[in-house]
Order: sequence, then structure tokens, then C-alpha cells
Amino acid sequence: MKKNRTILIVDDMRQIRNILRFSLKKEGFDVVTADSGQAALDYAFSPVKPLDLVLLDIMMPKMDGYEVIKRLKKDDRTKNIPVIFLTAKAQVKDVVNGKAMGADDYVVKPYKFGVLHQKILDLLNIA
Amino acid sequence: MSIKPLQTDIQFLRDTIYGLTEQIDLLTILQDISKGIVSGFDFEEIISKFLDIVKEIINYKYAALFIYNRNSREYTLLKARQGENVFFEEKNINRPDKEIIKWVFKEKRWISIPPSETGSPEHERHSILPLQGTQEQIGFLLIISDAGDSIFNKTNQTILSFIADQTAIAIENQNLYSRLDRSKKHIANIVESINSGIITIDMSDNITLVNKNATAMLAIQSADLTGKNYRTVLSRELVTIINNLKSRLLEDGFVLEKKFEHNPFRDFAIRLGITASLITDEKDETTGIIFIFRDMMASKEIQRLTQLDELKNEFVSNVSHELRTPLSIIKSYVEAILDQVEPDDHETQRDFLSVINEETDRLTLLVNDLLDISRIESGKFELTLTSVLLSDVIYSVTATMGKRDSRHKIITKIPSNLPVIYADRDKVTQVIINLLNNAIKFSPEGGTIEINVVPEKGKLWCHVSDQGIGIDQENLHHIFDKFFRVDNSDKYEIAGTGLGLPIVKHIMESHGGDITVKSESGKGSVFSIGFPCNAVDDENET
Repeated sequence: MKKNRTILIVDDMRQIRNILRFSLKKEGFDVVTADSGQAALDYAFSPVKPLDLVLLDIMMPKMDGYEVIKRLKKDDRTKNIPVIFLTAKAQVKDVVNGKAMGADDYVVKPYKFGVLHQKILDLLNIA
Repeated sequence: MSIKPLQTDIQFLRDTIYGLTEQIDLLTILQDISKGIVSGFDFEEIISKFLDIVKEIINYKYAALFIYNRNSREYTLLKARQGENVFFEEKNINRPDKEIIKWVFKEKRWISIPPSETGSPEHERHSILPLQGTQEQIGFLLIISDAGDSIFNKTNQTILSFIADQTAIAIENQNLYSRLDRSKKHIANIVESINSGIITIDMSDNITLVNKNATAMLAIQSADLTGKNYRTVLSRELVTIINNLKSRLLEDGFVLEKKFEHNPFRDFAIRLGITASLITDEKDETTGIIFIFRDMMASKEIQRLTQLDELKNEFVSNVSHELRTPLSIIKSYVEAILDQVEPDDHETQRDFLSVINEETDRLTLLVNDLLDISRIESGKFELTLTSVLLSDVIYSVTATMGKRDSRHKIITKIPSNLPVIYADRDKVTQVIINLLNNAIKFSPEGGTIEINVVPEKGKLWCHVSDQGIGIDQENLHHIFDKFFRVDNSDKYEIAGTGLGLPIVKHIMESHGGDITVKSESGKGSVFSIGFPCNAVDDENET
């Protein structure tokens, strides 16, 4: 059922990208990663394989997660892809900010993979 | 009602008429005196007139006015006056006994003192005229007259009592006026020098007071606003605020500080805090309102504290992020090992454990930094000094760090026979680790980091140079400030709490050492630390 679902992981921390890739692959997803906002947009606008979901870090150098989601939601090619913010910013205003900017869900680091996994399944309508 | 038949005794009629004439004369005199004394403009004048009048009534040889001092509870001689052709020396005046004065005030009348009490010659008569105000004792007049003069009669008694009362009241009033004047001046001084703006209004909205600070803070143009309605002379913005405060105040009886931006010059807003309270009279009835304006930006202390507060908030948010990042890495790798990695996949397990290990080290460093800072802040930072070979410390640090970081090249240039330094080994290690970590963090992969040790000018110097991104001049001044992190767009890329260099600086200073930095944006940095040492002596020992 999860076959052929592709998730884009956007995070500047190598260790985070690695473990998410490992865990999501274990759950049967296809995974692509980007280490910056720009790299994420470049892939999203001309994907090798169409994206089903984006896991997006907020605090990243040069282009932060807010800017990335703004551009994704503005473009017809990418506006329907669900986005989950994944970040160490834990204040209420950050959650509100994230939702206001069009994020479909929000997970605070440190996260439980089980919770993140369930949110992904919900957004992708996988029972 | 019956009318008494007219007395026909001629003598009686004559006496009555004579008596009435005398009384009319007396009243006339008293009225004149009263006018004279009460119209006296100041203290001196009142007393002078008083002494003149007394002299006219009883031709004294000498009169001395003693005034009661409330603080010392003593009578002090204020003014003495001689009669004509009489010479009296002040020092010869016998001050009346306290008991006698007490008695005089109890009797409340002009009293002649028996010569036996005064010890004065028989041809002199001493008498005392008490001056009693409505509230308190004013003093008394000591009168020395010729024993032969028959001055003690009813008329004189009446007149003198009257004069004494009038004078006492006049002096009392004078005292009250000057006290009132003094406290008015006192309050005016306070109002003018106070660091806040003050405006008071009465119940018909007329301004009763504006102090200098209010004029300055609110940019009030006209010089004198007192007596004018505040709605007509203050800016519309201020009137709205005052109206609002006034109605709340009259409703609730109090108003807490309200903050607002006052913008008298359009391009330049002042942040003001304003409080209002009721002014009441002695019957606790409201007579007006006082508005106190506080310039929220004026105090340098406040500005400094606000800045510090902002830095701390930023710091807490930084720390929170810095703590969460390694924690979330550790947690996700542990979770993966527990739930997802195959039990016999030892290679992946080992990989993940080494990531966990690294991140645990990062957390430990961070927590240590925080502890150090709190120790420094609370003054509990202590050194354990021993003889330390700087080269040993550097080699042990580079050995561990070199193993972990293979992406940079670390070169050490350390001469042999270096003098020992007297230092805290752990703290020196911390300094070297910190500087080396910074050099690695801010250098591109493959960059070279050089450590040079040189004895120079009575100090043992260690220079750590890198080929990294460098620091621009503007930021160079601040890098040792607590919580400061160079603000560039790559901020998140390089982890840190903004505590490393402040701690390093503190360690160096507590060793009596130095720390300097040379850097240029894009061309790398050189951090130099110098420990005090006695080069010649130490060389022989080692």
C-alpha cells in the first residue's frame, strides 16, 4: 500500500536526514532528501518521481522552512503536496505560524517516530 | 418690661460718663495699636512696633523680648531695647527663673516679680508680660522699670494684655507664613527636580501645575499653562489619553501605569508611562488630579536592562534549540535501534551508536558551558593551579580531536624546552579545545589549522590560526561578549551557544593572562592566548 509513495526530507542536519531516511525506508516509503531550502524547491519543481509528502525543517541557513512552504504553496505544481513541519522550535506561536503558512501538520523535535509515522499515514490516507 | 427710673445721683452720672470716656479712649488706643501691629509686614517690624508701644505706655528703662524655641525648649533673647538716658548692659540682665515663667504663663497676665526673686536693686521693678499665641507659647517680654512709677493699674493691664495677644498672634502668623513658604519652596524644588513629568489639574479641568520635565517630555511649546483648560492647550493625542485616564480614575479611584507612544515631532516617538491619582484636601475631598509621566527610554539603566533582557531571551531560545537538536538526534537513533534495526545488523547498530555518542558529547559540552557561565556569573569560578606544560595539553587535545575530525588538517609548531606555566590544567584544556573547535567550525573542509607556541615578552603565547570565514571588524569587538553570536545568514549552520569565547576570556583573565584576536572577513582568524610565565627561571627547572 505504501509502495511508490515518495517523501522529501528537508533538513540541514545530516544525522536527522540519515535517520529519517532509514526509518521511512524501513516503513516502505521512497525517500529523497535535501540539505537546504533551495535544494528542496529545485527537486519539488522538477521531481524525478512525483512527491507525495514533504517533511520540512524550519531553522535552516539561507532559506528557512517558512520561505520554502510559501513557495511550495504558491506554485500549482506543488501546492497540493502535504507538508509536515519538523522542528526544534517549540513555542506556540511557531505552531500557529506554521499552520497559518499552510503546513498540514507539525511535529516538534525530539519527536517519536511512531507519532510522525502515524501523521504521515493520515495525510496520505493510508489505513 | 419696666423702665428703671433715671438715677438722680449726679456723682454717679459723672463717674459713669467719665468711665465711658476713658473706655472710648482706651478702645481708640487699642484699635490704633492693633492696626499697627497686625499690619506689620515682617517679624522685625512687628517686634519693633510692639516695643515702641509698650514704651509709650510704661516708660521702661529696659525691655527684653525672649522667644520660645520649640526645638531646644529654651527661651532665647531676641531683642532688647533701652529707655532714654539709660544705659543697660545685656549681660547684667538676670534671666527670669523658669519656674517664674511657668507661673506667668499659668496666670496669663502681666506680673510684677518681687525684688527678692530677681536680686535686682530696690529702685528697679521687674515685670513679665507673657506672649501666648493661639496654638503655642511665643515668648515673654521682660520689663525693667523704675520702682517709683506707678504703672500697675487696670488700664495698663488691659492695654498690655491686649497688645501682648495681638503681637503673639501676629508673630504666630508670621511663623506660619514662613513655614508655609518654606514647605512650598521645598515641594516646588522636589517637583522641579524630580525625574518625571508632572501635570496637575483642578476639578474644572484647569491646569494647576506643569513641571519642567513635563514641558520637555511632552514638547509643550508655550511657557505658562497654569490656569488654562488642558483640553485647549495640550495636543489632541494627549487630551485623549488624559480624558481616558481621568474617567477611569474618577470611576475606580486609581489607575495603573498606562504606556503610550507620544509622537510630538512626527518622526520621533517617545515611549511614556503615565500614572494618575487624585489630589485631595484636608477633608479628603477631591480637588484635582495629578498625572505623572515617566520617560521609559530615558534611564540608561533601564535601557541596559532591557538590552540584557533581550540578550537573555535570545540566549534561552538559542539554548533551547541547541539542546533540542542533539536530543532529537539521540532519541531518533535510539528509537531506530530499538524498533527498526535488525538485531543481527551489527554494522548499522554500531553506526547509529557512534552518532549517539557524538551527540552526547555535544550535549555534555553545552551543559558544561552553561554551568561555567552560571559559575562565572555567581562568582564561584575557581582555579586549581599546578605546574602545567602547555605542549602536553595541546598534544593531548589535538590527538583526540584529530581522530574525530579528519576533514581538517591540524599542524602544531611547538618548540621544545618551553617554560612551565602555573595554571589550572582542566581549564587550559578547555580553552584549547574551544579555540580549536571554533577554528574547525568556521573553516571549510580540507582547511589547515595551525597552532604555534612562542614565549614572548614574559608570556607564553599560543596562536591558533585558521583559513576560515573570518570575522568582520564590526563584529570583532563583540565576540567576547556573552550571548553574542555573529549574525549572518549562515547562523543556523554553525552550532554554538555564544558562550564559548566569553568563558575562554574569563579563564584567561583569571589566570592573569591575555587573549587577543586578529581577523579579516574571508581570510581566517588568529586567536592568541598568553599565559604569564618566568621564561628564564622556568627553563632551568625543566
